[in-house]
Amino acid sequence: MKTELNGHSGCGLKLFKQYNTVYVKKSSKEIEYNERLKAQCKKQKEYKADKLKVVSVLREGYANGLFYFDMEYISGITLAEYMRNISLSEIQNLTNLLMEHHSRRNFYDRQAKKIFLKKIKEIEQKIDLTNSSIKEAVKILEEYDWSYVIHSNCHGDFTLENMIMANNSIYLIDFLDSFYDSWQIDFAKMLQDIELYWHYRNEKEIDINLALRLLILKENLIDRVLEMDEGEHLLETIYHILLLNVLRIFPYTKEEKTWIFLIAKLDYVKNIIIKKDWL
Amino acid sequence: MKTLIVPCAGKSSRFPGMKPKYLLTYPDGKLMVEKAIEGIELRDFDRIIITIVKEHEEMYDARIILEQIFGNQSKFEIVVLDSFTSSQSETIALTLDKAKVEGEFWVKDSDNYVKAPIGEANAIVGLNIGTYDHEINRLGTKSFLIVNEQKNIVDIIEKKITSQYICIGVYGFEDTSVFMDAYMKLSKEKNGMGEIYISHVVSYLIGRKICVFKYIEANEYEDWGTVEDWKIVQKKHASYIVNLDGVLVHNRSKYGIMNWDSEFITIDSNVERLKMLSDEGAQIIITSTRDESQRDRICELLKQNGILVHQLILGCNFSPQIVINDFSASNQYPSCSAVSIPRNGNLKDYI
Ligand SMILES: Nc1ncnc2c1ncn2[C@@H]1O[C@H](COP(=O)(O)OP(=O)(O)OP(=O)(O)O)[C@@H](O)[C@H]1O
Ligand SMILES: [Mg+2]
Repeated sequence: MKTELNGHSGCGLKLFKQYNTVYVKKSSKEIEYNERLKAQCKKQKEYKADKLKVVSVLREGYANGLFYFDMEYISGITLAEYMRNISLSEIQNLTNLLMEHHSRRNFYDRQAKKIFLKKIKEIEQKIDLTNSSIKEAVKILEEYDWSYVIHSNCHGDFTLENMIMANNSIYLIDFLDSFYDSWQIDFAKMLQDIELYWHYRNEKEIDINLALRLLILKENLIDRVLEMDEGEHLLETIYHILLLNVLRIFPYTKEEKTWIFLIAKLDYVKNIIIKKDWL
Repeated sequence: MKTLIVPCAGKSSRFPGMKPKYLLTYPDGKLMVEKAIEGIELRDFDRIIITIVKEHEEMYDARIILEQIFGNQSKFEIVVLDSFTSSQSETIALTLDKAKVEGEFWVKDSDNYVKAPIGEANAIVGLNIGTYDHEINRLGTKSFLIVNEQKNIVDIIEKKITSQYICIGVYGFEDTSVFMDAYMKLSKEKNGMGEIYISHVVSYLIGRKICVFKYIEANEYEDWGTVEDWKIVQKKHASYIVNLDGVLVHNRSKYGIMNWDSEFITIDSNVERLKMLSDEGAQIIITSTRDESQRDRICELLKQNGILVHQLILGCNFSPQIVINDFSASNQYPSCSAVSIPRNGNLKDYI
């Protein structure tokens, strides 16, 4: 049995059945992608996620020179979908679960600044700096001092669609090597869907049920960061990373609609940073 | 201090071409706003505030009319807003501020009838559609409540049929600050929340675990949200002017072997139909060419058959009957109609 799963990348994602159990095969579509997928597989195998679960890798190998790995099939729905119908009373539990992932001990990495500034420079090469929104965003990022970055374990692509909700647990998939490892990077990626609606960008209108639930989740999460030592600094860093994330999407943007969406979000995040208007 | 607020500051856009809907006359002669609070125990409240807008005060004498209705009650107040609001929660926020409301307050929609035992806030009055035996219009536009065994509301889902409990526009808040803080939060939300319903404010309070809301079940409910709803109510309470002979009883003449004094032979299916209309709220007026000497017999007959008669008009002409009525936006054309049935024929074939 073979069924396609819908993904975004060039990766093939198929359901197979063997000895009466279903599993998922994720395979590289071109040789150039092998190393990336191999790294993903390695990260997925080694990742320690405390209260969150990681989908287990069953086996890995090559077929026709293309790397693949098989993993357990999780019968559930992604957090992106789950948020549409989550009970209001359950959002607090979800917050707790997600915060397990983000409450790493404080230890500011003095090397981080160099890495972030290098990344910003790299993005500058790839985007249209004549646009004033983009230019201002770059300026904000360059002027930020990046001294409240915590080095920690990091999923690398912590979007709501890379978390599958099943049996009251969150299962993580689709790990990615990040230019820097910090829970703040994951937190910012989460806000990209929860606050900027990136995952939901093609919907004509965000359903009010979803909008309310995302808002409540966002405020819960932000409350929790603000409760940490020097929480406001940590949060400020997160929003700068979020701004950086939005900028990073521009080079891949082909559709005008998406471009307009991103510019609006860039201004939105900039405003939050300037006004320190977190909640 | 416990305050009841009845917001009447909407544009009534679902009632085009009419006066503000809360001033429309219910079939029993009371105005919609009066009917809207009829099912609520007003003794429990220290202040009762009706919020209207200036335009309605100026164009429709809204203030004068409300004072004529409620003026003799000292706890009754009117708050006039300068302009229409964008949502019911904005109306409430402005009212709380303008009237300096403090402590516990309740909101009651002005466009429905709810009979319910109002208890302590925080609470929402809901309707159990599983046990409610009337039709509910536009079910898909309601807010649905998930209630746990402690009668606490654990979830509110907008416009998706997800439970048997619906919100019917009666909300109690333990304190004005609880409502105000949440409303301000939502209205200033950076992503924009659109029209903020009171149920959204409650959702936010539940989701953020700021308050727990109790579920109170309504005993009776009637909705007047749209002209269609209102027309249904008007139709339910229509006046039926019904001729006796040949419609409810077998036709008799004054003279002959079988005459007015003979025993009535009821046309059972028609009597049954009329009783049904009467039970649903129709006003029944019986006319007959029979004379006054027959009054007691006829009254007795109708009473035996469970038909509540508003008037019995005797001594009518032996001639056709014609009903004349005016029509308008609030009592739309045709504001009267007539049904001629064959003598002793079946009413169910016609109405
Ligand atoms: N093990 C699994 N069990 C159940 N569903 C899965 C599993 N792996 C993937 N899916 C489903 O497929 C979707 C896409 O998977 P995945 O995130 O691995 O691919 P992708 O986003 O296309 O990859 P990439 O980010 O590498 O480009 C997921 O959001 C999820 O709905
Ligand atoms: Mg993915």
